[in-house]
Amino acid sequence: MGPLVNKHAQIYWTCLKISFVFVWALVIIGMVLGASALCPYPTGICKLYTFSPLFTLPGKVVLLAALAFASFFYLREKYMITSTLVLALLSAIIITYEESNGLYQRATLLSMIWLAQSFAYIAYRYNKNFNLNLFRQQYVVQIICAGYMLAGISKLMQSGFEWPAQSAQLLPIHMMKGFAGDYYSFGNIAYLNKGMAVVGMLSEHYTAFKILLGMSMILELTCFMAIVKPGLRFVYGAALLLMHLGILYTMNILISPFAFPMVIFFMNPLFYIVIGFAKAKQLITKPLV
Amino acid sequence: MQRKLLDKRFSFQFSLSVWQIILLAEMVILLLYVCWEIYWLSKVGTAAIKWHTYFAGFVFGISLLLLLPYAWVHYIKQRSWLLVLYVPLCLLIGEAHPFSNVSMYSSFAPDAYAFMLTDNRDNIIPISKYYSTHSGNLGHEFNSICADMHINGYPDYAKAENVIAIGKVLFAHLQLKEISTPPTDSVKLYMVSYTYGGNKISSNKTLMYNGSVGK
Repeated sequence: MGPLVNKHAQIYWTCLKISFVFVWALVIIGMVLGASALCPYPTGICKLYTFSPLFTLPGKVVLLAALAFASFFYLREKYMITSTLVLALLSAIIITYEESNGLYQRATLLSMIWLAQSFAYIAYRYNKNFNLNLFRQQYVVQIICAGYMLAGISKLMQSGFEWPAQSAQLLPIHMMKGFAGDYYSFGNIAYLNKGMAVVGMLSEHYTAFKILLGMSMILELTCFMAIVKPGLRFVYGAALLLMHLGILYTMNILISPFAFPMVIFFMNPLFYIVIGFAKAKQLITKPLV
Repeated sequence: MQRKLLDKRFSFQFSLSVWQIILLAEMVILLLYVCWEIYWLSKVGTAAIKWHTYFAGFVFGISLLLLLPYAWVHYIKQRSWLLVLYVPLCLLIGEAHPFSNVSMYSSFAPDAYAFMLTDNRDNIIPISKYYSTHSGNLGHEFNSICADMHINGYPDYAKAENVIAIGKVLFAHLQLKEISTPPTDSVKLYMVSYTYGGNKISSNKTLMYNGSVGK
């Protein structure tokens, strides 16, 4: 990590925690509030037990209270092993229940991030020489890198190196679907018009799109470099952010359970905002000589 | 002279550590396994690649990491063990949270579809205005319903009898998410599919449900 981060290590970690809890809570609370008491397509742990009672009205109150308590202790840096394990378990149950209702939000990373942090705290408990400050973040970076690498490996396994060319060919219909979906959901014809404009742009710059798709595949497959060379983490963060913005622009899709944790743990923008404000305040309040 | 050269004796003395013995034994087994796999690959092609192929690679990879004492291996063990463990587990287990092989858009289907709700005069009813969901989520539920009914993608789902069965279930799920009742007596749920024909994208509407809006 750079000298600025090393100097303000505690603030860096606090900003990471606040950012991640905020993003995670938005996704998870939305899932809890929108869930019905039905579990029509049990998957994962819901095949063993559906957890439907947790998604009745009183069950939701209990669930949200448990989430709030665990998050509170996590942010206060108290009982970290218990709070991260509880958050991992509740996260897994809620996301699996959502998937058991046929809704795949691609939220795999959200539970694993809690588990990765719990591993670091458990290791520190049994070995006080363990570099907790480094590994409670580094383990999460490993999980995020694993998620992107799995995306790249799946592309390789399903389509091989033909993926960029195949995708550029079939992308227009999937682009139309994304924008049409918004038109049918919100009734605003502007979405459909935008979809047609983006499809038109793709057909004019077909080769450039193929190259961009190829670069995104390479980016995903080489994501492990963000672990091997920590200095590259910010670079990969910026590149992956551009990739997500490109997907949002062309396909009207934001894979937020991937994008937001990646931005938080690779770039930690809240830290730089906080430091920026502190420095600006210092400059403003500095007496004139 | 030739006889003397052939009679010459050489002696060797070597010792191996436990990890070297285990690794050598593993490599012998792996070599036999690879030969067996190559034989079946030549007979049946890629159908020879089964779960044990990935399992063998996983076991060998993990044992390499655990046994080799070199500094770079120690670095991997310390700095990348979670990634090295998680990726193969996801590839083996597949889609079972918190494991996933993240296969979204790993290949693009030749068709894409969105869902549209209209009144009996085919005027669009914005889904998110009256239901706490989105056309995209209906797409996810559609896939789950098809999987549950053992209907395997395009063109199976487009057959008349399947469309009606799926539409009925999909609309029932939609009604569970009702925020307010749409201002119409009856609704139609359409699947709008987009396909690529020549240089044009063509869309096709399939009526999946036509009935009253009340529960």
